[in-house]
Amino acid sequence: MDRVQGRVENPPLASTKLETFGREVRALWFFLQIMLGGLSIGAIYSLIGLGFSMLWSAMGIVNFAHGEFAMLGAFLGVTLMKMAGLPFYASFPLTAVLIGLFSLLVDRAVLRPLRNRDLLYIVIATLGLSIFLQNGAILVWGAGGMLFPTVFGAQPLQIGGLITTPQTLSVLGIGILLMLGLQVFLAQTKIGFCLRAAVQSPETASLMGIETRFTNALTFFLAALLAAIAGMFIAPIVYVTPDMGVLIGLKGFSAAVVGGYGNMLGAMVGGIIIGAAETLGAQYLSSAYKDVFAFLAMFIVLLVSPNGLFGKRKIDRT
Amino acid sequence: MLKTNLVKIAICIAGLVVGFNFSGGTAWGQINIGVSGPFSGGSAILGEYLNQGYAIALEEVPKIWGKTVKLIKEDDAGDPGKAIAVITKLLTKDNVPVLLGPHHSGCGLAVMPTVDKYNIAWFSGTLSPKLTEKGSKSYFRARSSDANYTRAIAMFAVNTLKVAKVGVMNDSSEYGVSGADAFIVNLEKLGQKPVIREVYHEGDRDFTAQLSKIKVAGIDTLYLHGLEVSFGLIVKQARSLGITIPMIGTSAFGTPKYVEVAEGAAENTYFTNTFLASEPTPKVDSFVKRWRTKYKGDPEAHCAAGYDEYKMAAQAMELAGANASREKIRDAARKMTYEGLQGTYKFDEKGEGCKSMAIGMVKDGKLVFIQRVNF
Amino acid sequence: MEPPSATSTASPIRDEGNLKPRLIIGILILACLLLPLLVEQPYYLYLINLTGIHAILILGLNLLVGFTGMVSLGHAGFFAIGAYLSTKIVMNLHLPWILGLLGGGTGALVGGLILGIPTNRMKDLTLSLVTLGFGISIYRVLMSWTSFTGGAIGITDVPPASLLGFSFKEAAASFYLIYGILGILLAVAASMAHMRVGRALLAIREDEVAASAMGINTRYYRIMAFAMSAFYCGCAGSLFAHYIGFVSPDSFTFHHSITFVSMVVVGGMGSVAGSFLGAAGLTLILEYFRTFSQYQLVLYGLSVILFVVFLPNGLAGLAEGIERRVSKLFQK
Repeated sequence: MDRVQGRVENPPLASTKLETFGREVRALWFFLQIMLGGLSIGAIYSLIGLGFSMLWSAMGIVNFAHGEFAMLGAFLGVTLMKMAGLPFYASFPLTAVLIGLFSLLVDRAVLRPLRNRDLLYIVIATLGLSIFLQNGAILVWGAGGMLFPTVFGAQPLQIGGLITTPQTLSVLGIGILLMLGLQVFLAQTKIGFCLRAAVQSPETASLMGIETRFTNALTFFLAALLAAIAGMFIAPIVYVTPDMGVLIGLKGFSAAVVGGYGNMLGAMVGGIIIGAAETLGAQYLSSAYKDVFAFLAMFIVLLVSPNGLFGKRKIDRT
Repeated sequence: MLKTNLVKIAICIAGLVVGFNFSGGTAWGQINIGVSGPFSGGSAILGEYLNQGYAIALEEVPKIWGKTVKLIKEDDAGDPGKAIAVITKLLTKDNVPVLLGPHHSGCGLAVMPTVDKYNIAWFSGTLSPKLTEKGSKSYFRARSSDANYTRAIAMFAVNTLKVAKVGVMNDSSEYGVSGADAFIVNLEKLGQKPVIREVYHEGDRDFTAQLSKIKVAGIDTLYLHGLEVSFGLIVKQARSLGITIPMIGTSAFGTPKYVEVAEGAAENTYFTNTFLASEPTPKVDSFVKRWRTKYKGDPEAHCAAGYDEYKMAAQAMELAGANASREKIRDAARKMTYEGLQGTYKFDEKGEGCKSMAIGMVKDGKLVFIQRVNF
Repeated sequence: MEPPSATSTASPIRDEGNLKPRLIIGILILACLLLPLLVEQPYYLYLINLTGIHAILILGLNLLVGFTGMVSLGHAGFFAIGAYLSTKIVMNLHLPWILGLLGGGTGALVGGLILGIPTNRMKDLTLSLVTLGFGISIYRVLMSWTSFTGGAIGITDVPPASLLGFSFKEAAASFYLIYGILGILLAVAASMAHMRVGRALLAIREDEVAASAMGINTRYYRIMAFAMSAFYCGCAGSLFAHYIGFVSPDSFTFHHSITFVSMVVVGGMGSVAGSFLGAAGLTLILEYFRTFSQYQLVLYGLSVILFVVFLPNGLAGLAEGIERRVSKLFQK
């Protein structure tokens, strides 16, 4: 400071410190705001990824059309609400159950005949199924897509400096709820116990009197149910279109792989990682490459840990 | 070994040649017009709108040269590779005298060499200025160039809305990029430069990343260039993030779909389009009435474009005379004046025909007509 | 009597040694050579040429998927690399097309190495996801890196292939070029399939642990398969770019990757001739379904499923089955 001229040229040090602190706090809030968005979309990926993991660990199959169950759930949900005039609280469980049953049909028709084949065949068949379902949806509901009414409200909410909507929070909420619910179901109920047993060792389970056909069907049903619910909750935010399931399915799949394919907790963590990676990357680096960040995150995790974060080596049970 | 493989291939090629003889064939007293459009894929909704426009136009003009018209619709799915295949088929196998489409700017650019080679007139509502910049002797723009769209909205925004800091956000497609570029050029002519520019991909559903940056950029209006569903989502998400500034844009904003998807967040949006169902002219009125007897809601600009495309082609063909060659039809189109739903068309050698734009806004969930601008 | 043909895994290629009368072979080959003159419709010739380009691609993909059993869902990425690189080499560096072809192929090969080496340890499913991510990422790069790739518009006015001053502008000329290259690559692949390389790859696909126990350097062969398959794809990409006359990202999407893998399955995994059969077969199927307009893709998806379920050995397997039955008939 130049006191000789009687004027203070530079601001005192204390002010600058306050300014930088203020900027840092704002940056932190900004980051948290972004993370909230990342967590939300991550919850969706987790739900889809859970489905993938369940199918793999229980039956050793993969379904590339899994994302389409989310899409069909969204369409069916909207249709029931608009055509049948059902309120959301009625259409939501009904749709979930119907999609679950539909998935059993899909399993019977497409996946059952391919049970013992090479993985490649299942991959191709389910890719073909994905194309079939997407274009089938166009035939049934038209290409324009439909609007899923925002059930939980789209009015902005302010929570301690973070702006979000009830709908976004509901996505997070349902994600957490479902994952917890699934854990409880598997750990505490008898059926859940049978499922876990069948997953760990089908032969032993069947020796113990557990009907593996039933547990397989139940696994499929639950996976599709989760996907359908995910679809219905994300639908108001993203608008229901026949191709909405594709990228969600692929990233959900990535989430499952990142977490350790076959591991359910892993799928949940994986979803959060992918969601956060793509949102942060899009924000701080380049929004044009958002999908690249999601897949890059997956790639890096896999490089470090080829079986995923929590994955165990798959024991070949041939 | 190698021989058996070669034999199999030989059989296959033979099979291809034989198998490919599914002939199209023209019935007596029928004339085929080729259509190439996005009837599947991401913009399949455009295909639906076009079909609606064609259907109404066909009702009004079912015969050309005294023969019944049949539209051969081929799907290019917005894929330039497919577009070339489809155009080749329509031109060489189906031997159509005139072409409607392709309707994506990228597809249009891709098929230009083929179309020029066969000297066939093609009418299309593609918007990219590049199509006329590049120069094709056969192209007829059945809407208006993005250069005009963006000029109209830029002038409206600066002169009427009195904005000073504009943000721009566009999708990554050819249409999105060149459209936003055209807007920026027009903005600069009025002495302003965009404060921020963001990009998204058509098909993206989450725009938090871009919108967060926009929110802190301190702009007083956001210009969007892309497609309607994305717009609806962007605006909805913007409002839920607390962004309250007016939105401006071109054709995609002036659609019922946008209003539907945005669900109430669409208010305070201004746009330009070649066609607005609420425009109070007799021609538009009668079209809208007719449209409402067949479909729900209100017609969208692409319906009008499809309608105009077909009527233009029909008029050119009648002017050229019965069974005229492709070149004659094209020359007739170049010389004629066509009164359409979207304005008066008089084509120059590059293919630009119409320089009038309608400006509208979204008010109470409706697309309200404000004024028409003529350049 | 006859052991039932394997349904759960595709059988390796067979060389029956059934000598068909040379006359028939000669006639067929002659017909093929005269094909461009026999086919009048430019549209059909266009499709046939496109099938040829795809066949080269599928040949490469089959090496990876059919022979080695590594599922790649992102091969459109290598196709794109070959196409764009070749375009740049010819248009920006003003080098002759043959260098574009080789450059495109090599570029794709390098890409194959970059992808293949780190993923070497990955299991099938993980690998399929990583390749998928690769394919989608390439697409995004093509769309966004506007200064190099031209962005969504792509690059127009790509000059046709030319060798020693002769420009392959006409479709008929392109036919000979494409099928000539296809023939060469087929011969290479076919002879490779019978040498140790091919058998090693098949062994890896059947049971990798056993293969390495037998002394096969699985790591080397897996990486090699990736690189070679990428190279073939890159070459196909170059041919594609210079035949169509432009490149744009919309020709290299995830859907295209799925189509390519479907062609492998439809043709017959692990079958060299199956590569061509698959390309031709699926193209024919798609064309046939065009007559059903809006049901085209639904039926396409359905046919893929049906092929996988009922015809796991693909068209090549079907052809062999017919061949066997016919020769049995003649043996009586």
